Amino acid sequence: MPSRNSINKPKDTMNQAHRRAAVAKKRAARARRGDFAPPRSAAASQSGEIKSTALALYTGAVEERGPWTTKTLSNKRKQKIERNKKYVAARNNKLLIDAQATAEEKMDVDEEPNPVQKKLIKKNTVKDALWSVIEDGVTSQLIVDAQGEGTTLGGPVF
Amino acid sequence: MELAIAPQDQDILLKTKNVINESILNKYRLAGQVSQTALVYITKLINDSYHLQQSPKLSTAELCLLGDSFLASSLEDVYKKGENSVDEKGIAHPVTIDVNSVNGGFSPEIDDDSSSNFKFFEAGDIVTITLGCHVDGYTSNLSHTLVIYPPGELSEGEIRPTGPLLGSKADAIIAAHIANEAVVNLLGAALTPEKLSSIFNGNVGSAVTGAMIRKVVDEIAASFKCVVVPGSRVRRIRRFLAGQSEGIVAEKEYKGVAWSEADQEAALLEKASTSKELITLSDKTNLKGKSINQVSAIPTDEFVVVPGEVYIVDLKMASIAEIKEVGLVTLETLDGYTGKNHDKDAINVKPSIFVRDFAVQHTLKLKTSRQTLNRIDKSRSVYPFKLSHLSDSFPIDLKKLHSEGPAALSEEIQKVNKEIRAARLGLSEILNNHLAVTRNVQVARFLPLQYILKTANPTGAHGYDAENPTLPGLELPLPRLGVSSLKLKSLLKKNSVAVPVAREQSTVVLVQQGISAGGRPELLRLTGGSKTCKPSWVHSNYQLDESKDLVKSILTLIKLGQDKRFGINTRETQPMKLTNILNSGAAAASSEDQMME
Repeated sequence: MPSRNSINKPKDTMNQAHRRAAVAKKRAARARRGDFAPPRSAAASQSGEIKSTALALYTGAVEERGPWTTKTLSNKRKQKIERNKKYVAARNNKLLIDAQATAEEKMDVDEEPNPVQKKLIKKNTVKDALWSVIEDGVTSQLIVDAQGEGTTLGGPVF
Repeated sequence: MELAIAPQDQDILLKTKNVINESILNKYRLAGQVSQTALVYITKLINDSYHLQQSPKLSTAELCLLGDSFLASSLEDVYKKGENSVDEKGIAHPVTIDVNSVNGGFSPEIDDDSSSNFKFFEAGDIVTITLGCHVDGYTSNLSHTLVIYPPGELSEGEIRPTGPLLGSKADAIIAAHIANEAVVNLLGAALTPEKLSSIFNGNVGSAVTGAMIRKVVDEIAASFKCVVVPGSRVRRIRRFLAGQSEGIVAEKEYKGVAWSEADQEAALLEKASTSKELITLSDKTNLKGKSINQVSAIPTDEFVVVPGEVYIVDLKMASIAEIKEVGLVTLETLDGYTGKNHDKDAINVKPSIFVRDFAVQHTLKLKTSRQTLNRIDKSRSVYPFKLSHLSDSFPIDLKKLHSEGPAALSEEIQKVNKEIRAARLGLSEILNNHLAVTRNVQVARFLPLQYILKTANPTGAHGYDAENPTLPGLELPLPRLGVSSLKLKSLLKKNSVAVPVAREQSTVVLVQQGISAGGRPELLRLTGGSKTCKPSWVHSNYQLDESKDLVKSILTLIKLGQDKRFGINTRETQPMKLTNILNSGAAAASSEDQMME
C-alpha cells in the first residue's frame, strides 16, 4: 500500500474509508447501548418527548417507567421556573383588566359585527337550516304518500 | 387558452352556418335518422340475446363496437361526392351502455378485460344506451333507458315479458320519460307561445324561458320522488357545439339549463326556511374581472327559447324513495385507478372515451404517438372517440356478419383488437401532454347530508378539481355551504350508496315558419319519440298530483303535443328499416325522407 506521502496517494478513498469505519463504530455502540430500541414508531419510544430530565421532573410530565432516576433539578433551573411563573401570572392579569376595560367602554354601543364574524354567522345559519331539514326528515319518515293507482308506462312487449 | 379566429370567420361559423334552411335541415334529419336506427339496431341485438335468446349473449364491449360500426358505416356513403359533399361526418357520441348506477361514459374496448363489471346484463338491470352522430357538424344525440327482463314467456303467439319492473328503478325511468316529453313539448310551445298555459310564467302567451324548463322538470322529479342528477341539461346546440366538450372548452353564449348539486342544496334550504336570503347567491361579486365572453359562458336560467334553434334535452333521474335519509345525489368519477386497491366492491373501469383538445400544442417524442395523433386528427373531429375507431378494420362489415352468423364476429374482433394495442401505447403520451382529454366513467351516488354538515372544512371553498372540469360558474358544487368538489369527493368514498339512474335524451329542431313542408312552424324531433324510444314496461307507485296547478298545465302541455290539429305541430324522424340496411346497400338511399307525420 502506498504511503500517505506518495505522489499517487489515494487520498479520498482512504479518508472516506476511515470515516465510514469510525461512524459505523459509533452507530454500533449506540445500538448496543439500546438507543435505537424501541424504534420511534413503537408505543414505548421516548422519542419526541421532553428532552430535559430536569424540567420533566419539575412539571411531573414523565410517568414512572422503571427505576428512579438519580438526576435532580438544579437550583438554578428551579429559580428560573419560579420566576417565569410570576411573569406569566402578571401578564395574564393585565390582559384580563384590559379586556374588561374595553368591554366597559363599549358597553352601550350597538355595533355591527365585523365582516369576518358576519360571514361565520351566515355560514352557521345555512348549516343550521340544513340540520333542521335532517331532523324534520327523521320525524316525518313514516308518512306514506303513495296513494292512488300509481303510474304505468309501456306494455308487455320487448 | 383561446384560439385566434377572425371575427368575420367567427360570424360565419357561429351564426350563418346555424341559420336553419332546407339543406341544413336535411343534414340534421339524416343524422337523426341514423341515430334512431342505431338505437333500434342495438335494442334488437339486446332483445335477441337476452330476452328472446335467439343468439349467444353479447357482452357490453361487443354491443358498443357493433353500434359504433353501425353508425360509422351508415354515414360512409352519404354526402360523399359533388357539391353536396361534406368534410366531416360520423360518430358524435360513441355508443355507451350504462348499467344501473353508471351515469355515463361506460363503453369498454374489446381488449379491456379489467372490466368484468357489467360485462353481461342481468334481469332487473336498467340499461341506458347513449349514442350520437353528425353530418357536417349538425349533431343528433340520443339516450334511452331499457329494462332487462327475465327471459320472456310465450303468450298469444309471442314471447312477452312476465311483468312490469317495479321499485325505484321504475320510478326513475318514468320520471325521466315524462320529464323528457314535457320539456320537448315546452320547447315546441316556443313556436306558438299563444297556446301556452298561464301557469308557467304568469301571463298567457309569454315566451318559453329557462326558468320554466327548470320548474317543469323539478316538479316531475319531485312527484316521483326523484332527483335530477347533476350533469343533466337542456341546452341549445350549434354546429360542432353539441356539448361534447363541456368543461374542457368554455363555450361563448351558452344557452341552457344545467342541473348541479347546487340546485339540490337550494331545494333543501327551501324546505328549511322561507327566507330567500339563504338561498340566493351573491354572484355579482364573482363576476368581477371577467370578460363578457367568460360571463356568457356561465349558464343561467334567464334565456328565452327562440324558433330556429336546436336543443338537446338530456335528463337523468335517480330515485331516492327507498333511502330514508336526507341527502344529495352526486357523481363519483372512476378513473383507471379507482377500485384497484383493497376495496373489493369498488368498480374498476378503464376510461375508453377521449376528446381531442385542439388548443394544446406539443411535439410528441414517440413515433407511435405521432402516428396515433395523426390518425386522430385525420379521421376524428372535435367529437369524442374511442381507440377502436382508429383501427383500419373499423367499421366492421355488418352485412357479412349478419349473413354469416356469430363466428364472423370473433374474427373481426380479433383484427380490431390487434390494432387497439398499438394505438393504446401511442395514446398514453398524447394524454400525458393533454393533447386529448379523458372522458371518465361516472357513477351516481347518494351522500347523506349529515356527513357533509359534520365534516371539518378548513380550506372552505378553495379547492378546484382539475380532473373533472365543469361548466364555468359551476365549479363549486355546494356554494351556500362553501363545500368544494374535492371535499365532496373525499366524503363519497365511505359514506355514500350507489343509486340507479335513468336517462332520456332527445334532440329537437325548432323549425321556424316558412321552411318545412306545410310552411307552418314545426317541432322536428330528430331523436327520441314514441316509436323509437318507447318506454319499457314499468310501474311506479307514485303519480303526478293533478290537484296542483303546475302539474295540470304540464299534463295539458303533453296533451298539446299529441293533438295533431290544434296542438304543437310535431314531426318525428323515423328509423330506417333494419332489414334493408343489413341485407343490401340501402344506407345510401337513406337520405330520402322517411318522415311520418
